[in-house]
Parts: sequence; structure tokens; C-alpha cells
Amino acid sequence: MITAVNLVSRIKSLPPLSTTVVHLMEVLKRDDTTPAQLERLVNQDPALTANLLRIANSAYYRGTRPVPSARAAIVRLGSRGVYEIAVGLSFRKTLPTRIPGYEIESEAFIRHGVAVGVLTERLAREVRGVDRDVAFTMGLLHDLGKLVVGVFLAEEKQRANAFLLDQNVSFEEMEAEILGTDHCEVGHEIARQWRLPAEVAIAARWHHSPMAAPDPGAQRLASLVHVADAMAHLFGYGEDAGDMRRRVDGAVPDLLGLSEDQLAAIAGSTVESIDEFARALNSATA
Amino acid sequence: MDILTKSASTPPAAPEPDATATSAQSETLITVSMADLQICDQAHATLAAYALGSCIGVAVWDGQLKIGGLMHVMLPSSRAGTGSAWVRPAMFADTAVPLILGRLLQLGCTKENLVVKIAGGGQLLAESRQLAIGTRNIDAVRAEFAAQGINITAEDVGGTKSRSVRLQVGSGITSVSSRGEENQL
Repeated sequence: MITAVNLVSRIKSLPPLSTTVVHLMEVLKRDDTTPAQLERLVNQDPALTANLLRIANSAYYRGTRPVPSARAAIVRLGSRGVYEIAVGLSFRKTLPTRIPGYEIESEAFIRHGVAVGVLTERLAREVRGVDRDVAFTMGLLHDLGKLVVGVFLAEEKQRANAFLLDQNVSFEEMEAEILGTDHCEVGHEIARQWRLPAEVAIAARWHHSPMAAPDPGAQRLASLVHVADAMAHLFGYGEDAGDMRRRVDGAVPDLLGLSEDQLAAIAGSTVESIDEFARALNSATA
Repeated sequence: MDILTKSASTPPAAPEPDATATSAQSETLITVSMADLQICDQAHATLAAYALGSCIGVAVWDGQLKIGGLMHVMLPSSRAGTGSAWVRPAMFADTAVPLILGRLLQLGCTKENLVVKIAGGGQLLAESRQLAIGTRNIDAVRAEFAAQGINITAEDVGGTKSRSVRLQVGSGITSVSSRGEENQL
């Protein structure tokens, strides 16, 4: 079991996201931000400035014509796109080269996050009544609790493996059994400490059990990430020790009104976006 | 298309006469990414598809000509593709199987000599009807080969595990790895 004191100190010891991310969030919540204001913010962050143009030209953001300059990228992407890229770059910097307890390299972990981010955003377009502004970020960061939980899991490897001998136990159930908490609860706490948008905290907390979220709005947001996460695991985007041992709440796709063909079309049309975005983030200059 | 070159992960069975020979025979590893097909006739090459999840790795090998192909099929039907099948025919079982067979026959392979092995089609512990893609992929790939009158020689499919598959072009040896265990298919 993890004691509360241990957990809090572990969360506190995580490197924080950049201050640009926090500032951009404030900007994102306003409607009256000008490109010039956005550019001033971007210029304060060397990593963002250095990588913005390349990522803006990857398939996920690319329009019909390439973006020629950082300034044009800011205009094209707006505060939402700039925020997504800033979070991605900053998140990547907080990762160790390998996530303990989950047997996954940081590149694959980023690839998984990007896949869930891109898929969540695409699903959000199909579902009415969802704010798409933070959809990508909800997906990108949904597993951030693993950064802390993994450290404790690695110390309990033998017990973890013993639980996993039962083929019907999911990875999250094992976490809860041996640690008394799971990466969802812990992720929620990290999202709050990092002052991330409320939607991101909701996604982290409820992405494995969306219907347990406290209100219909939260259930809907968590459901999108739930389905996106399942799809990412079905298509092998960033496999970890949990492999395919996850459960999908069978009611969720129906509730979202998503058909088999819609999901297949989304999966097929996002391959290039996910590949290029993940590669751009993983090869970003510091 | 990713082509990586690295030295063989397992040492050769017979001792090499000298260091030069070892490096000359070092294995070429060709990664087949999702929705992609690779065909190869280099005896020392290995084709590999990783983290298949619910996707299917389809290995087709001609034992006479020693030509092999590996596909990483993602979805059962191009019906869902809205045009993607033109760009990435290896994405869908119904366009992928005719694609790989057509390419191999073009290279002089004959249907009778083809050895087909498939791996993947994993499922989540619990999934909804809309997300039962692994099962549908398995059915679709089997149906496509049946329609072509070709038997599937070996399968390692289904279950709640993800797999990787490798095809050694020179020998036709196909192996499947999952959770740190590797078995010949």
C-alpha cells in the first residue's frame, strides 16, 4: 500500500510543467487574445519556439499548404494549437527515459499519449456538446498518474505479477489491489497540483470508469478518453506492461452514439497524424 | 517505410571464421509499420511487425523463390476507409490480401508454393461490440485467403495479448513474441 505521505512527496518531486503552459491556459480561456500576445508568450519559451514550426507542419495540424514561419504557425494554430504543442513538449521533458513499473520507454509513452490525444479530439468532433478545446490535452495527459504509481509498482513487482497470473484481472485492478490506489486517482491529484484544466483532471481520474464520474458532463468527457484509450491499445500505440488487459465499458460507445464504422474510419484516418506528431515530439530539441 | 539495420540478436549457430564474415552476414531488420506491406528477397533479412494489438501480421513466403512478404493489417474492411484504401491498401484485410498476393505473383511466385501464417487479432479483457476489431480482423483475413483458395498454414491469434511477428526471408521461419516469450509459428 502507498501511504498518503509517500504519495504526496512523490507527486511534489515530479518536475513541474513549464510556466508557459500555465500562462497559455489562461490565454486559452479568453477569446480576445491576439496573435501578437500569443507570440510574445511563445518567445519566452525556447523549446516551444524551436519546435513549433516543425510540429505545426506535421499531419495533425497541417492544412493544405505548409506553414512557412513560427508567426504563421501561431496564426494558423491559434491559442489552442499552441497550448497543445507547449503541453506536449513540456510533458515530454518531465519524463524519465523509462517509466518504472510499466516497462515502457518514454518515446512509447509519448506515442500512447499522442494517440489518445489525437483520437480523443477526433471523437469529440463526432459527439455533440463537447468542448473540443482541451480534448487533445485530456488524451495526451490521461496516464500522467503512471509517473508516480509506477515507482511504487516497481517496488512490488513480485506481488503485481502474482495478481496478473489470473488472466481476468485487469492492470488497473491489480494496481488497486496491491497499492490501495491506482494511476487514475493519482493522476487526478497531479493534474490539480500542476494546475491543469479541470477537464484534464477529470480525464485522468475517470478514463477507466467514465460512468462513475460525478456528473453527466464529466461522464461524457471521460467516455471520450475511455474509448480513445481502448482504441490506442487495440492498435498497439505505445504498449506497456498492461498489454491488452483493460476493460471497455460496453455501454459507452452506445451512449456516445458511435458506430463500428465511425470508429474504424477514425482509426484509419489518424495513423499519419499520430505517427508524425509523436515523432516530432520525441525528436524535439530541448 | 522504416528500414533499420542492426546486427542479429542471436549469435549464428556455427562459429564464424572471422570478424569480416560476421559483419557481412549481419542481419537486416525491416520494420513493417501499421497499415504497411514489405516484400523482400534478401536471404539475410528479417521482416518484423511490432505491437500488433488487434491488428494482424500476415506473413506470406514462397519456399521456392525464397521471397517473403509481411503486412500489418489494421482493419477488416475498406468500407470504413473513405478513400484510405487507395492510399494504404495494406490497412484493410479486404484490400491487403489481394495486394500481397498480387505483388508476390508478379514477382514470379505461385499460389501453390505460398506459405501463409498469421498472428495477432488480440482483444481487450472486455470490449464493446463496436471495438471488437481483433475478432473481425481474424475473420476477415481468413475469409480473404479462403476466397483466394489459399490455406493458412499456421495461426497465433486472439486472446487478450498483443504480439510481434517476425519472418526470416531466407528460411521462412516465422516467430511470434508476446510478453517476453518467443515461439516459432
